Amino acid sequence: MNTGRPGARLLVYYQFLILLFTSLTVLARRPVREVLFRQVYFNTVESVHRITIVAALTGMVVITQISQAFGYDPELIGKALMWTVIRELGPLITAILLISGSGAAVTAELSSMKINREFDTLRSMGINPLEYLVIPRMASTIISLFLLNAYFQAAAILGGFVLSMAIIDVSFHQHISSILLSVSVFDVGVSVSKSLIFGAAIAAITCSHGCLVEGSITEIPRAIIGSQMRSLFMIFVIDGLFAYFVFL
Amino acid sequence: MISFSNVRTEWFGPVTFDAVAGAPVKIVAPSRDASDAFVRVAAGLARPDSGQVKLLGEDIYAVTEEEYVHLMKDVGLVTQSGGMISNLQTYENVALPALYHGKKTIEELETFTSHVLAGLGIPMDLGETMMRTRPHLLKPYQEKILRIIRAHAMEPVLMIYGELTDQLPDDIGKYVIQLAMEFHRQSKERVSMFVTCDESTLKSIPTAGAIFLDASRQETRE
Repeated sequence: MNTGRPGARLLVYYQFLILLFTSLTVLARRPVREVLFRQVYFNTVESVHRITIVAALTGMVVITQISQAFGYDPELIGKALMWTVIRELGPLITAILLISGSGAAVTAELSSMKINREFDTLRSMGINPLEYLVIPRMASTIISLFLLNAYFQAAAILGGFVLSMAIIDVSFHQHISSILLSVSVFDVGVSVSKSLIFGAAIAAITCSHGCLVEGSITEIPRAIIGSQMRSLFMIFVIDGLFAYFVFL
Repeated sequence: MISFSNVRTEWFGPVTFDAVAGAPVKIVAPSRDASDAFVRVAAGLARPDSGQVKLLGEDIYAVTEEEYVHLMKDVGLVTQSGGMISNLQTYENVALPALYHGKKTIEELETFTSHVLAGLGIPMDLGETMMRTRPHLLKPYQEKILRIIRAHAMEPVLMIYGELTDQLPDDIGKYVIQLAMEFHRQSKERVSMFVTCDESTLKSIPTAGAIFLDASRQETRE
């Protein structure tokens, strides 16, 4: 298949997603489950410090900007955090951080294994490399983005409050209650849906670019750059579609 | 079990033979490249220019990917080099296929591996160090022994060894051949195929004759 054409590339991403949803039973095998747990750990625990800092700073920026523009209004800040962090920035920023960290690592790892004939080694041992290498990585990307998004939102709300205390006079009780009053099941549902769909898109793109590498080792950086650019492009397209179909 | 019918590549051929169950088979290649090419063709990893390769009764290059992977559960492959998964620890590499296919438990694998390493005279602490390291840090002979253990742990009906004693010290080479033959005798149905470019390395293997991949020597085939 010529994967250079955008239509063909989208078809490949779609095929990888179909592969994931039709092969989930392989996660019951112990060696595959171990890969899944290792990847979730790598994606979440090992990047938690970055997520915490970015989330706290994002929360602080939203709180201070709203306070500076409209004065300190807990209700407005609650709504602003809900609109920006929960609906938009949470899924989007965690997706960007995941793409730049473990997304690149997944493409690099799979492509170097493909070039070094490790896919053939697995096949010769009766192990389907797509089932052993790709399915747990795709599943872990989706699970990880969901977890990171939830963590990001909590860190943005709490960390933003703590950092804002240094700049403006805010009340913790008012801050938390205004956010709880502003959040609806619909908003949480949108945020969760976005993180799952972004995760599925990133998983399909990063894994397919890693698996479709052919030829020499010089193809690996191209595969990484390709997967990064297309993952970023795709999540913004999906975010735009969400805005159009859900909020308009 | 495995048959070649007029198989030809740029490195060898045409080759025709049919290995029957229970027999060790020696394949003598004209060069290391030919030996490597033969192993890859026999294992379904490199399509020959012409001819048909049947593995466990199936044309290995006509089956689907799913059928191929299923067939390879019963085939043990030890190539002359490479063949380890780089992002796994050595013990994970050794355990992977047997655990994946549910052929052995971790405890059985530990016993099996310790037994083989003890037979090679490798002290237990060195054995443990080998198992906990990354494969690229192993010495070539250590890696090869572990790949043999990994293949045997799958309990395959067909074993394919490429340059079995290559990179092994003489005493370890002799033990490895003994190990391969002991493993071969554990099942009457098993076929063990030894591929080499140096016939003298396999002289201790009791076979009726050898199959020569070099066209000029094929008349001596028995």
